[in-house]
Amino acid sequence: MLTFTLRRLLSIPPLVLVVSLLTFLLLKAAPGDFYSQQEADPARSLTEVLRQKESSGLLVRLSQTQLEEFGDFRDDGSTWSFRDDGEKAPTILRDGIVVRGRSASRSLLNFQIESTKYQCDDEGVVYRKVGPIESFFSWFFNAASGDFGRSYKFNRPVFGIIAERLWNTLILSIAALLIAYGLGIPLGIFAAVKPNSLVDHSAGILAFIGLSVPTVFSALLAVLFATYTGWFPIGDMRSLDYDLFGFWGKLGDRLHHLFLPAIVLGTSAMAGYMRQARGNMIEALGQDYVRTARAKGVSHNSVLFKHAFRNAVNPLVTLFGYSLASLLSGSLLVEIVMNWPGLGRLVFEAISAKDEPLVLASVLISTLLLVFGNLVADLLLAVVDPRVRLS
Amino acid sequence: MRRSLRQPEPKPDLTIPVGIPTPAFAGELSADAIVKNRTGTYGGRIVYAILGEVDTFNPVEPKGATDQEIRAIVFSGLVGYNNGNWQTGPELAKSWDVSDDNLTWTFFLREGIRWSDGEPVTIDDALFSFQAVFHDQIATSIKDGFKHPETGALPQVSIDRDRNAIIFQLSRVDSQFVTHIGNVRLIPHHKWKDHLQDENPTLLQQMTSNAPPEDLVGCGPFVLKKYVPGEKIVYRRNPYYWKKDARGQRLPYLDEVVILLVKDLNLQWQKFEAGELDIFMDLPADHFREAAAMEKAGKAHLIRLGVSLNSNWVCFNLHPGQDAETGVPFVDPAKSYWFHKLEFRKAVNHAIDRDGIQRTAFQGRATPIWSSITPGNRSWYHKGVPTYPHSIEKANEYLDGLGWKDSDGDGIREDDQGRPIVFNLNTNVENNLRQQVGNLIMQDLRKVGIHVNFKPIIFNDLVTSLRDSHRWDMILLGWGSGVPPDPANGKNITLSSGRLHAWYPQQPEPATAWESRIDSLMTMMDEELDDTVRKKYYDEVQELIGQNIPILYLIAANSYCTAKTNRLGNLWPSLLRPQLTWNLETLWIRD
Repeated sequence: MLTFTLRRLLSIPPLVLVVSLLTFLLLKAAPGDFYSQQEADPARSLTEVLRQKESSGLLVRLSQTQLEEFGDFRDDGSTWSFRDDGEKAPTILRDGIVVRGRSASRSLLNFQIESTKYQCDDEGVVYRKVGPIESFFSWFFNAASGDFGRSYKFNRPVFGIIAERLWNTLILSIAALLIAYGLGIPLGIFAAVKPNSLVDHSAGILAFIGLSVPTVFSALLAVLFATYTGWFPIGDMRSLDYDLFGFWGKLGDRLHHLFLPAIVLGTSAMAGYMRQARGNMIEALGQDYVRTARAKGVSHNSVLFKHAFRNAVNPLVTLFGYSLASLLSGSLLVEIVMNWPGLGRLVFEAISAKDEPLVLASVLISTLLLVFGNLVADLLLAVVDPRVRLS
Repeated sequence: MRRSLRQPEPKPDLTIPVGIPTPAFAGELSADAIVKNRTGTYGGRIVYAILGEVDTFNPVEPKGATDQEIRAIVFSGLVGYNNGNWQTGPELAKSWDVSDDNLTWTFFLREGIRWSDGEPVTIDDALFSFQAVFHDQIATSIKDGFKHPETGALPQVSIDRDRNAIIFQLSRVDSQFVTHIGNVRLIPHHKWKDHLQDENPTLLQQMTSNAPPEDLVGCGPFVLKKYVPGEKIVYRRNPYYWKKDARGQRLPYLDEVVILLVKDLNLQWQKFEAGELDIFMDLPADHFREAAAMEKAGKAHLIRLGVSLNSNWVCFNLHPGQDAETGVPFVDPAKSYWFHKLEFRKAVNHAIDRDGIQRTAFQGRATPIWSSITPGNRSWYHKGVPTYPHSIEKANEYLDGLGWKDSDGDGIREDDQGRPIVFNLNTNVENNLRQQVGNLIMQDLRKVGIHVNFKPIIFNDLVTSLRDSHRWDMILLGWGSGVPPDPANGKNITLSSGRLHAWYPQQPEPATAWESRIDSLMTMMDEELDDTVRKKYYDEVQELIGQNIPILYLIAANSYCTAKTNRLGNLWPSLLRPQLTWNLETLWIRD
């Protein structure tokens, strides 16, 4: 079992490399970047937007010596070159004639020398555009040394931002998971013990509703329910005056807010577990060893829980591994609709804004969770099922 | 056509009780304190929601609109803008002087003002704040306004301790200089002096969203009490605030300001309906009926602000260039040939039924426009802009005149070289209203034999094609308006060298005589301090764009807010953002 665990753990670094590279390339392949919104804002100048891109590492400023080394190059029908005259910005020459200030940069905004792209701002400062592969590896080597970068949006180290939200999401997901397992498995078993009974059919209908109604819709219904009855708060994780409450008041307030989102999230997941548990249980109950146990006079409960259930539970353990991975990302829609200040919302916004360091860090966490979730599931399986040998 | 509705200025009422501020004020009130002609009762809190998230509290580089609104609560500038009467006025500066050549500006700082940590505000703080913004290695959009348009040179800053003044030496006359000064919020020298290093300054990494609240030392009416990411921002009264009311009571009246961070517009509305929020700004069209119903029920007041300053427009791609690598023209030569014909653009302008768009897409709550300056902008609106009223006959006349007729009877006109007039119209897919408008335009143009393929695409795609690839035919987009709503803010759009000169951006030389004239008018506007003269210049700019219609302005929505006006005292709604919360310092709670 130790070698198995070690082998699994060793497979993590290459997996992380591939996953983050793919994420990175996908982010880069879509048009625009974090600063596209700013570039479309009439109140911002190109110069300052480019400076910000430089501070984010999307552009690299070229020194005047580097620019002189370009020599003559062609762009848009003219020959250009740069000359260092000891001033703040280089002198720009077009067909050998000095062009000054904005009129120079205006004609030479974007240019390309041997497939490397450059951009010139309004003040004659020239930047090199950092390609996706180069910027990935610079991110990767920094990350390997523990520096995962600063979020473009928040200008703060990414893990600090994630940590603020992580706990909130975990609370919601774990509560939902408890509901899903705590209700789903007993209901599934109950339905399996009495197949085609009223309980089975109603549980079946419930499951189909749970599976077919999208979470967004049930979350919206829950918000409407809260608005019309006034029994539950309209979204949020705690009350405005939370800080003024005592310990029990705080706990009660938290649970009051948690109830609806956890129910919405839990019931949709519950349906799957319930069907799974029912199917497995029915299959297990039809096995020869159950008939043998019954024949030798083992009590009904003992047959159910000692013989059938232990065999039926295996696929559920595997499912549990996956549900660990979805702990952080599974609640996105509920978080948005019900204003839960979780990680899903943060990451969703980071993806749409193309805040690359933040997206990469969260993808990294999700990948690790998936890997560990599977590892935990496999180990658990070995514990519950003596037939499984890990080596 | 309805002009913007002027909201009345609140009047003082000396009979209302004063109340007790908790916590109490601290320090002596300065003899230089600004007196606001208001009265109110201390206590209570206002709760409202914003859709964004705090990127940073740092006032040196506010990233988004959210940051700009929240920084005004904690930080003050030398001058301020009154959204209620649309005027710039003194704040931390008592007054200012300008030399006869309009190049030297002197701002005199108020005496006896304290930071929210109790330290006195000195002229060194003012100098430090401007040095931070002007720092070569600090990237901030606030710097832009101060730059010389050609050389990029920044003003020289110096201080005169004897007169308690900060002096700016400009290299050109700048009509917007006072506005730019107002964009710079003062930060305390004693707190941040170690973070403005010559090389790699760390100032922008301070005052981020995880900074401890006591780090945010400012001169604004409130200070940060608590920020919970994704949940709320809570401000409490700045005990050292330096303004007083008509009865000599210190401001602000409110004990607390609570801003909820809500991600979903519907949820925000539910919270308002349930009474959790005091105000709701920028009421979206689909909640108008509910807001009207709430007004009827006496739960909230629907505030009609008049025509919004944001314009919606369509524009043709007039870029003459070609791809540097492949040599393929950005715009298909046939399309370019059509788009460059003024008669064609006039025909399209006549063919678009703005009233139909107003009725259908905006449900009557909008106004047709003919210029980027909407009737809502009472300072800059120009009545003499050429208009092209909806007329299919006129549109057909222009197109027939060009000899572009439907010769094969398929309902689509062919140009004089037999090419069917078919092109694409794009807009951003994120905006539902714009998609409706796009569909209406497509139908309108079909009636005059022009076939438009309407394709909404994602915003980033649209920006990329506008800026880099230039591969588009016709787009439908909108401009927002800044505060103050001065056309000088739109130079990136109006100047031929502008990045957002949509039809042909960043021209090396002005492509046409009229664009060249617009360029010089905009420069003249920059260098003229008299607003009546500046208005004349900009009227001409608007007329030139109206005559040559490279961009067809379509419609501006009406703007609404809703608020519990019975609960809130001294509310002075404004068309300019933030419509209801720009004067938090004088708001008070009635119950």
